[in-house]
Amino acid sequence: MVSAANRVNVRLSGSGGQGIALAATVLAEAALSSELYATMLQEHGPEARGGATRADLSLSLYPIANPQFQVPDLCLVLSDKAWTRFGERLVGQKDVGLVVDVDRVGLVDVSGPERESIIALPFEEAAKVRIGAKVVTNMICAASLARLIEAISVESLSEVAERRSPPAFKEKNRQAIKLGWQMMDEYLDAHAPSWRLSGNQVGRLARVADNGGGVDKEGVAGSALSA
Amino acid sequence: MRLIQGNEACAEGAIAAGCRFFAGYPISPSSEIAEAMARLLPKHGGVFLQAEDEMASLGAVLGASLGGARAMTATSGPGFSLMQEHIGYAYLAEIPCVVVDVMRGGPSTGLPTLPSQGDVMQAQWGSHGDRAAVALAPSSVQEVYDLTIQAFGLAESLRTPVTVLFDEVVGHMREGVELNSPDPRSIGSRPRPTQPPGASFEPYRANEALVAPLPDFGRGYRFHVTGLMHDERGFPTTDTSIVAALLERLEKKVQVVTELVEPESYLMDDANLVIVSYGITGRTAKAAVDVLRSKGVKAGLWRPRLLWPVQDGLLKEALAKAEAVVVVEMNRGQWAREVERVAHNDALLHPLLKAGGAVITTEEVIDHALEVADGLPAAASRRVPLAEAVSWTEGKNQARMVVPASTTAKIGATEVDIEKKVGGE
Repeated sequence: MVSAANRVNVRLSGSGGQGIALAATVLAEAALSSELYATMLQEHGPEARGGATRADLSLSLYPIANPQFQVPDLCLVLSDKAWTRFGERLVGQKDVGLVVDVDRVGLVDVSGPERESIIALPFEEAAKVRIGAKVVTNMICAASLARLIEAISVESLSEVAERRSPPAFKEKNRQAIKLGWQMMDEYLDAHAPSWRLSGNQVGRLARVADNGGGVDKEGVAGSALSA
Repeated sequence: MRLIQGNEACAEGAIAAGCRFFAGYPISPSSEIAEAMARLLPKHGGVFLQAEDEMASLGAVLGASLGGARAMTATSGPGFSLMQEHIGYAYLAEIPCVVVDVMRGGPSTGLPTLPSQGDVMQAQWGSHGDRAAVALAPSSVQEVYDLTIQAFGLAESLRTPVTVLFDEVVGHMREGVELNSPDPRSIGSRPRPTQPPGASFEPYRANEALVAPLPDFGRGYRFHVTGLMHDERGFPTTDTSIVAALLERLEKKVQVVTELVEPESYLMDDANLVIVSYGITGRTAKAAVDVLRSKGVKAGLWRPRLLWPVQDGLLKEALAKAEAVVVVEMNRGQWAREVERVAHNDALLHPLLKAGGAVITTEEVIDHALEVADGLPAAASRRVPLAEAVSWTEGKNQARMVVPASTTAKIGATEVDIEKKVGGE
């Protein structure tokens, strides 16, 4: 497995219609405005219209040579079908983080020994109860992932989500981003996840973002590519 | 910097290059090009037409082009097949146009949403007769934008159809892209007649660049557009010397393209193992080169952005010092044949080929190249036949496609039976 430092591979999975691709797109756009390189691939087959589907997002300090990856560093799962197809095989894998919607993914064995490596949060419930719109679940998830990845700021994410929203949903999406970030923040305060993203890419990406973005991009020693 | 799909970048590039007419019939994985053109063209005073099929689409594009518009269509393999007749027509009648083929798995309806590089030979030989095709092969969203612009420049200035070929992954991938306004010189222009309309106008008399001036329909110039061989006045002819001269001119005029499109050379200076790949596999191979270098293999990448005509000179130069050449492509060995033709005899040719819808991964390229590198000193003149190089499956650990012995026997028996029968008569 080729694994280059300075790159984070995130798989967002769920059922067609849950807004997986849009969440990945918003994260990728926010990454661009945080001076990172980003690629996003989504499935275009019939799965995107109801079955288990996914969007693969890569973030890197360097131009990304190969946008595809086999094993993600971080995987979001929003449905049982997606759990069977994408999530289950990642349980217990070293350096792979799993984030699931606790109400939508009933197949997760919460009593299993690998339970600690899975972050289970009520994303859809939060969208319904606290924002009053199930449709913003994907934005809550995007913000939660961004909080984990650290390299993308909540402000840039919020800006992208708002820009992409129809007028009637701008405020709700802004709230969703805030809520998603907060949910993961609170989770991380209370739990120390047992996994880390491989190669500590996240920390390095984040530090660069803090230092004013891509200033170092060209100057950083090492490979000019991120495999 | 904007985050858009390869297909959207294609549409943006077309608009930036002055495209004002698009006709197409939606087909995965190219549909987003039509979708984006439908959105963009009205804002730029252009026309979008959804035709009843791909033949009508390219027909409409050719009509629009003769009327003076920069025009484009986009499709995928099945539609590209249907367009072949008009592509040949556009070539012989010298009608500028851009045809985008976002490749999916074929033959036939094949794999609508999985990638392939299976239309490479079709881009050159899909239409009957001798034809010098021009085909560009971008491998990133940025390159889709840039090369679509260049495709218009070439099509317009050379009066010829230009194909932009990329695979489903490049078409659907989202990536950051700078939508820079093109240099006016790069978008080219049609040579125009210098004389006023009149009986002495010879529409197919070429200039020094071997390109004939093209007036727009409706500007007073009267000329005949035909798929028959024609003389400089545009009248059909069967005069073999005129026909031979016409075919020679059409072929020669596009050769300049080989000097205008730059291949990417990556760590090629001291490379003795050269990977040749284009499109999405050009990227997975590039990542492999980095890893191979870290393992002490002197690997380099030569990635053509122009597939047709083949840049024989540049390719020969790139392979001059190569002890081994690895062609990586997602088909059964199409461009590999061109590399085989151009490579010097002593180089070890060891293609990595895979058809079936899965992208050849960086890991696969690394494994393959390491194997090849291991055999280097001893294998100076070994050539691997393309048929042996083809991998049907995703990884070598998986089952290969095997024809059961019983089937072979049955086929054998049938053959014998037929022979006997024929012999008996």
